[in-house]
Amino acid sequence: MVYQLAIGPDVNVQDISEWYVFNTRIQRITGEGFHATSYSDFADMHAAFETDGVDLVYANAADTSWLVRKRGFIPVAAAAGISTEMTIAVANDSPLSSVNDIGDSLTVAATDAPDVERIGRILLEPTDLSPEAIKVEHRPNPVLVAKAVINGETQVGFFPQDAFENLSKLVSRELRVLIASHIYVIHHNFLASPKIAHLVEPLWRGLEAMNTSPVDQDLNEALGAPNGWRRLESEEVEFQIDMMDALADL
Amino acid sequence: MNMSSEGAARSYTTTIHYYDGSSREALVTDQETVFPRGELIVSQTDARGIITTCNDAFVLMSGYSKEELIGAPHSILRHPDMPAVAFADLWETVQAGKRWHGYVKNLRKDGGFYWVHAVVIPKIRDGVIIGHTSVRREPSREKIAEAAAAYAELRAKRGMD
Repeated sequence: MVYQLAIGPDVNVQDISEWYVFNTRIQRITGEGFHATSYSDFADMHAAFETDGVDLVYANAADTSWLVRKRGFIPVAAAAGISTEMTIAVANDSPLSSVNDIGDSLTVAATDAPDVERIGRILLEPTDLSPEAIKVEHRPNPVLVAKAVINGETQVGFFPQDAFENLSKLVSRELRVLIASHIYVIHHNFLASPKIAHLVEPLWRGLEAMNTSPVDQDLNEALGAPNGWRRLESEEVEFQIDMMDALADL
Repeated sequence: MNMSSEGAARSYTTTIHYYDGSSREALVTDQETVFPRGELIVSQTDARGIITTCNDAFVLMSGYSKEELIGAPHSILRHPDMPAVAFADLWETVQAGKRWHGYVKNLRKDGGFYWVHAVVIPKIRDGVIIGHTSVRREPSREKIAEAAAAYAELRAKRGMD
């Protein structure tokens, strides 16, 4: 049987080839066949979740809630010392210098990453804008989010912090940070479907071995774990779910 | 209540009464600490409201050390300007397994205060409420003004009872 590894749309484009290398590694670790699929938007990946078309995924906190609660996914690992943060940026020539300058409405460019939009809306709460007054236009990737902001199509852009930091100099010099999150307790999680429950321990041991292998350092960095991997316990995932519930729309 | 004033800051000591019948003397000043932009205050309590975990933003804003907070009742932050009825509503809501949210004026260790938009959700494990998770975020100044006025009215009504 061939299992399915989902490569999320929030993976940096330049790192996708390393995720295919990782897929090969997973097959070696588990002795099972894995097929990797790279998703270009969250809607497609969520559709695959709905049809049980994903067995292993490095899921953002919002998707983690759904996968664990609704599909019985099992926690495997998380990147050591890494949290999911987001940045709200404006064009360099924007009249906005802080969230307090925002008027009665706001146009936003963002990808369809659910965790980023949720945190972004929380950061805008001091503006007292209603949810309807924040109009989000989706773009396929962070580069096109940046272009929408630079071209004046929207007032601000929502970015995962790492994607913002990885924008080319040509693009990033046209942008300015309006506000950035410092939440620390929300992160991505490696989750396994109940179908591969028997592979959770081998998978963890494989990731743990990568922590101590100097040749795997570049791979770990490309996967978003420059400090290596740590075991993810059920209670920590439950806490992540509580956090996302607490941050959901009121 | 004992009042004193140094410069522009107003301060007094007062007795704060808790729902379980206990009380404590606390210093109260009108010194506001502004919510750290971009951060969240996160804590968890057990079913009795005893703090079991908290993050650095909680430590910074409360003015207590982490060691002082862990094992202390969450009501240690209760400001005398907060009407008891607001906390009764919170407690009833989360005990029913539902999410509560509201605007809360918290008391710092040094007697100052800070406003938060608090969301409290029951921590349910294996179908049992074993505690609560609380996430506090930065409120707008408009919401703070509305809440302060509403709480003042509640306190005034209570005074007339």
